This record gives sequence, structure tokens and C-alpha cells, in this order.
Amino acid sequence: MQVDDTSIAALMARSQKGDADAHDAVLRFCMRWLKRYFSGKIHADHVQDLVQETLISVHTKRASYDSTRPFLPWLAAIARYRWIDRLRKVYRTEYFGTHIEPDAIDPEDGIAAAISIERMIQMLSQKQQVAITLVKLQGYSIAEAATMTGMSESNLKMNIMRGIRKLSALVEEE
Amino acid sequence: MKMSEELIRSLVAQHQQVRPFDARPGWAFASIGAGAAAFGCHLVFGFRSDLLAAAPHDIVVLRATIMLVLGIAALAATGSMARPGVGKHADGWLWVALIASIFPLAALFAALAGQFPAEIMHAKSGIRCLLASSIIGVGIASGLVTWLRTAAPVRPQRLGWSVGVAAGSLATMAYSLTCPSNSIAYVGLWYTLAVMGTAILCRLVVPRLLRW
Repeated sequence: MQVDDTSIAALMARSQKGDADAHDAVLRFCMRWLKRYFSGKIHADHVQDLVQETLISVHTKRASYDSTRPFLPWLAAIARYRWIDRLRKVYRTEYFGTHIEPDAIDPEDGIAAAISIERMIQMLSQKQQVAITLVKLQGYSIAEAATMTGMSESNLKMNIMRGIRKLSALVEEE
Repeated sequence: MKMSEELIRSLVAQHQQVRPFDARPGWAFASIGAGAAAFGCHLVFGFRSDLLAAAPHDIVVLRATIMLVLGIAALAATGSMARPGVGKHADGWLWVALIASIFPLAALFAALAGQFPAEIMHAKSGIRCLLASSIIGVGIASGLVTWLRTAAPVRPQRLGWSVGVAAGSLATMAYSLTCPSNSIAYVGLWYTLAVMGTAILCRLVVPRLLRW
């Protein structure tokens, strides 16, 4: 079922007023949307945990939604915040070599592109993009990524650290 | 996604009505807090005589106005940052902070030119200004943090800065009505220390208190 932003914003407003059915519908919409949003932006084995963490944040912080404003930018800001938090936690995954799902968000959709994670990643320097993509998103070890890129391990770590710090500052940027 | 389904059922079971985050209590608290602080400073130190005579010195009007505008701009940014949203920009207060930097810049240029009055460095009223403004600032910041409990800041460090600048500048504005000095170098040194001290403290503490 295709749900537009206006409909989900109206559901969220009803949810804030205590309507459990509306809250259920909002969370189910968020679950589907977040699964697509995070696919390819973190290792596939982390997507479910990340979706669940974000759903809990949506639930606990539902009072912060302003029902006069669009819903998806609010959801995307929370999703980006949770994604960056997870990048910080997962320093090295044990899932090297397993499949990463391609991005399922339609690149033709202007709003989706504006609030996407790619948009944020593109604002990093080339070295930061490569370092974060290899180590944090694809699960390569620091040593492996250093060999692949020709950067020293310390340089790679510094690019990851600076890249994540910059992502935190860009969390609300289009 | 079975676990997500279970999670949704459990979250819906806990669901109850929530009051959407409202900016007004923050504004009300900051206004009442700054007003009460100004009255408290009057009781302890006494308002300046030129102010009581309704003929304040230019520097009094200038510093109080700039501190008030900076406080209002930082408070507006704080309210905006409390509600997440991609595409939102809440950095307008940085422009006001740039304008407010005329005071420390004036003090710096005076020091570089060797014209910084030495007595200002050791003025007892300077320490009093710093302490009073910092204590009031921490009080206002505490109220703002309580107001922000239901907020969802996605840039908590930036929010810490804006809470600190809002609280520090409103506190300094309240104190400035009793401040005996008419020196721009004095404002540049002691007021800047008070606002920056509160801002740094809030930058360190507020993100921990609002972690989610």
C-alpha cells in the first residue's frame, strides 16, 4: 500500500492523541520505510537491529513531531541519527564478504533523494567516503581497507573518525 | 521482520496520548527567569542610578540589547533543534553571536594596542559579574533542560551550545542592569567570560542529560 506524507502525518497526529490503531499504522509504515532506507547503508545483518532501534526512538520521541510539518523529514532525521550512532558502535563487523542489499529508495524521487543517507555521505571528503564505506558499511577490517586504498591504518581510522563527526553535523542537511 | 512485528505490538500496547513538544513553556521560563534574575540582582546589588532615572548610559542600552537579542536568537534555535527534521536550519543565532563578538573584539584590539585598562582585569566587580551571571545562567539552563525533556535533538552538541548561549546571554543581560562599569573592554572581558563559561558548561553537560 502506498501511503503519502500527508496521510502519514495525519495518522501521526491521531497517534499523538492516543489513537492506538493510528500508532500501529504509523509504526508499520515506519518499519517498511526504514528497512528500505537503511538497506545498503549498513551491513545487511545490522538492518533489523537498526530498524528496531529507530522504531523505539519514533515511539519514545513521538511528542517531538510537529503535525503541521511533513512527516518524512522528521522520520529521516531520526533515522540518520540512529544510523550514525550505529556506525559509531560497529567498529568492525564479523560479516565480511556477505551480501549487502542495494539501495531500495527510488533515486528519481526528489524528496527521497534529499533526505537520503547518500546525500549526507556525498558531503564527506573522498577519503572519508571511501574509509566509511569500506569499513563501516561493507565490513572490511582496517588492515584490509588500508591495503585496498593505499592509506595507512592510522590515516584510515582518522578519516573514519572525522567522517562520522562530520556526518553528525550534517544530520539535518538536505 | 517477525521481531519487529513483536516490537510494534509491544510499543502499541504501551501507547498513550502525548502532548506534542511546545516551544511556549521554554520562552515563558526564559522570560520569567531573566525577569526574576534582574529583580534579584536589583535586590542584592541595586539597579544603576542612571537606569532608575530613566536616562541610561549608551553602553548599558547597547550591551543589554545585544545580550537580549542573542538570548532570543539562541532560544529560538534551541526550540527549532528540539524537533528533528532534515532540511531544517537553526543556525541564525550564530550571526547574532557574530554581532555580539564586537565586545570581545574591542577588548582584544584594546589589549593589542596596549590600551586595555589594567584595573579591569582585577576588578572585584568583574568577578562578581562572572559569578552572578554564571549562577543565573546555570539556573536558566536547568529550566531549559527540563523543558527539553520530550525533545528529540539530533545534534545534541549544537543544542548544548545554543542552550548555553541562550541561558548565559539572558543571565548576563539581567545582571548588566546592575553592573557599575561603563567600559566596553570590561564588557568584552567579563561578559564574554560569563556567556562562554555557561555555553561551554552546557555543551559538556546538556547532551548527556538529553541523550536518547
